[in-house]
Amino acid sequence: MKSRFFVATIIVSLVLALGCVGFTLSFNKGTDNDVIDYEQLNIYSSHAVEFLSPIIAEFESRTGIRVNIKTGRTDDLLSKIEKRQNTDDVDIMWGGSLSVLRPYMNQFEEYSSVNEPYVCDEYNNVEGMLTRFVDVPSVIIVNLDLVGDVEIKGYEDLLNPKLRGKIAFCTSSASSSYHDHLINMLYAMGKGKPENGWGYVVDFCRNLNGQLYSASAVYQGVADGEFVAGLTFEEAAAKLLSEGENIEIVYMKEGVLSAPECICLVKDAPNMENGKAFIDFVTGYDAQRLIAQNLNRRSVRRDVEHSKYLIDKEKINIIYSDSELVSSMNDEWVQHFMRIYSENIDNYNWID
Amino acid sequence: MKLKKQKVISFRDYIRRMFIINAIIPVFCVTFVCMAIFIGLQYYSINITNIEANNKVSSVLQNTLDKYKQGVLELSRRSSLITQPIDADRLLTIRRTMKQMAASTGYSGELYILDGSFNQVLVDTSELPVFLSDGAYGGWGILREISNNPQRVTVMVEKDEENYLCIGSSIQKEGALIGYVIVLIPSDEFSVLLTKVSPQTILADSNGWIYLSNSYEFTDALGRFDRSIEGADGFTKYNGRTYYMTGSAIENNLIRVYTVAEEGRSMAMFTMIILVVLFIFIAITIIVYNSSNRLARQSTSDIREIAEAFEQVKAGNLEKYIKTSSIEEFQKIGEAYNIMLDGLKENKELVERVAFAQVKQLESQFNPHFIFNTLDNIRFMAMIDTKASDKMIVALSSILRYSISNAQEEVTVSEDMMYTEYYLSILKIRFNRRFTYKTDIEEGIEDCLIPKLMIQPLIENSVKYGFVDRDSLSVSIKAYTEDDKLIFICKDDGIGMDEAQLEEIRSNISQPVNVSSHMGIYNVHRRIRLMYREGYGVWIDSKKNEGTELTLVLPKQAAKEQRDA
Repeated sequence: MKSRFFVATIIVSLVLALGCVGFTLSFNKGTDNDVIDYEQLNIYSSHAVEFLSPIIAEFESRTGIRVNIKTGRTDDLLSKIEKRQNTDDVDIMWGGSLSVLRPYMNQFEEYSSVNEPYVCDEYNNVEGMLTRFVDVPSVIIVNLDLVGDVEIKGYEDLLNPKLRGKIAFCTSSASSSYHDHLINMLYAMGKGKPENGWGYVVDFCRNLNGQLYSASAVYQGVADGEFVAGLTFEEAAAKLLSEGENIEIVYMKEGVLSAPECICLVKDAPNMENGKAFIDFVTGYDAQRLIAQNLNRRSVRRDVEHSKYLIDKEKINIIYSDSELVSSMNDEWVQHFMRIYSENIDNYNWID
Repeated sequence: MKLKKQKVISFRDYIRRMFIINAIIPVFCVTFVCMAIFIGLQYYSINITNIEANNKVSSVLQNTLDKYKQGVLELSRRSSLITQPIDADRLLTIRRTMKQMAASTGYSGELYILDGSFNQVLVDTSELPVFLSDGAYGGWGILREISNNPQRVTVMVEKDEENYLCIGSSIQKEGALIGYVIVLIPSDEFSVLLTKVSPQTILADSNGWIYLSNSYEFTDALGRFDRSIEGADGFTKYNGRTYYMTGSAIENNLIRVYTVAEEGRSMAMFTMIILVVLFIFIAITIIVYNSSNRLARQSTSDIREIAEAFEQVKAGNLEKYIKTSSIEEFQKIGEAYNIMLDGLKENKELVERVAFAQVKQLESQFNPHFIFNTLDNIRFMAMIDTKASDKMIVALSSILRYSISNAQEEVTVSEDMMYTEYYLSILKIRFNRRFTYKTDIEEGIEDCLIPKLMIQPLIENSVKYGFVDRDSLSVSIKAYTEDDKLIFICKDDGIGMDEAQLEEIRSNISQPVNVSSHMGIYNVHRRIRLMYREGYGVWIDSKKNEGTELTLVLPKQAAKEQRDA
């Protein structure tokens, strides 16, 4: 009986102690009062935060729709969309060039934005699901401090032995600039027939050496003087110019492939109407003007001027690819490139 | 008198329980009350600190906003700012007004006046923020908000190299928008304010876009204040850490002020304190429990000894004296008890002597009775059978010698049975064929000790009352042990007795003085009762015309070696 009394005391004390702990822990739950049930929009994007922030802030401010964003690599985001269990967490896929997105076309909803009539003919959403919102052509950037008397006007000039090991190129399959440059190379050097371009690719790989895994390492590397020339995209180059870097943008004389980036509405998106509103906003005049003027990308609209750091489109030798052929051959070309690349990379170490 | 059923506990347990109740429970209560007070105070102070910090930042911000809103509103009413060139005097006035506002609020803003096509009319800094300088922003941000709501003062957070709080309004002429007045307060201005309050502070707009923060936590991928905790109030978990959050909104919910105190450390301290207190409490409990055990045992040892002594007396042992105690009260009790014990012992001796005398007297009672009967028989037998009378005389003399030999109070069963056989042989000779008997002594009890001449009076009783007018009588004697008892049964098939007679004998047996003629049974029962305790004696059962059964119950006592020696 005495032990029962003792045990009872211990039990009561433990209960009280646990009660005390529970009491303190119970505060941990945040109370969700005054949270208004906002309209939501979920976006997957591979764009940089600096690019996303002003556009999303303005969209939220205008519409009151709250945008939740998930950033990541284009291929990761696309595979997430493809494998998604429920469509609750994504309405919009924003990012990736036409050639990358085209194979995933059936994951997207058909939608033609209200701004489609203002869009240049070559950027029309002919497929129905792939709304072009900017054009980011591939370019070569040249560090003017390092280039000396070497003339770089196009792909052909990159075969100059003086540039051997001094060219930056991102060969990560996650990078749109890698895909775009490869396709551009094949079309430009194959004179419209990509199968004829592989000869150049072999020569290019011999002069390339080294591998960079991120697109930003390419343009930053050129700007920082690690490389003489780099294969990158126009927006990055224009940004460097706006920051006052001593570089030059070279539009390949053999031809610059038009490589529009797209924004797509995910099939069965839970916030379909908000998604459509967002696409309309992004392709709208205000947003397009901001993107062109301050974010250095070429607008798809006829009525929007490009950034002062970019040259007029008329002065560029624009070429077009067969986008269906590109999307069907893309994987094969990438593998073929990697084969050529690895065969020619050995025995030369460009990092001293 | 029957008491209500009450649990009886030992004095030692009682003392111990008192210890526990008076030591552990108060410690327990005080501990938990203190802990509750401590936690309550801690929580209260966190809450107060947060609310004070939040109020301070909110009120400073609101006050600054109000002053500048007033200033912007006044400037926006002057359409001449756009329509006419600003001369030196007006410029002076405007600059002074701005300075005064900066002085009165403590936070200086930059004034920008733009015309309807966003051209600069009056600017404070040479380098305009991008959202004002560039035509691309015409339909964007603060300029859009002002164009959309020309009648009121717009407040907004804008970003460029740094974050700005924008207070702007339109300049109108005849209902048309002709210009913009905008005051920008860079977030830098308030960073000193934030360092003046101890918790971390985050200033953000209604969508979570941060204006100023001195915390590196709580931002999402785009650098916004994480919306998952925007409504949080009180303790909040974020990224595995605990914070105490207080949120408030100013300027029509356009600007939100979040005050966040990191509570991870104090939470850990809480837990530590609780654990330490719990540990101390358990330690105290164990110590008190054990020491109470010891103390209770020590302080009740005298009482226990007294109780034990009484227990011994109850069991009949009068040799247990109480040792002297160091405690006065117990010593008095002990002394008194010991005196009492001596008294008891004297008393007992007296009783024993009286009993012994009584036993002797009772033993001697059967002698003349028996002798008379037997001599009568011998006289009768001497006439018809001298041989038998001779045998009877031998048997009688043996029994007499046995009865008067005082050497041994108790004899073995076999010895007593031997003399019983003598007696039976006398009876057999006397009654011849009319009397039959048999004895059945269980093996192993021959050496048990019994008072002498216990069986003989039973047989005598049977013969005396069994015959009456019957022709024959048979008596059986059976002896066996049951538990610690030695049982003798003397059964006859005589005339028996009716209920009334039986009842009379039974009540007579229990009387201290014999008043009946059943002398033998009474004497045997009385002797046994005097020698042994309750539970032993003679029991009688009989039915008229069927016979009588006498049961003799004695304690089983094995013969001691020394007695045999």
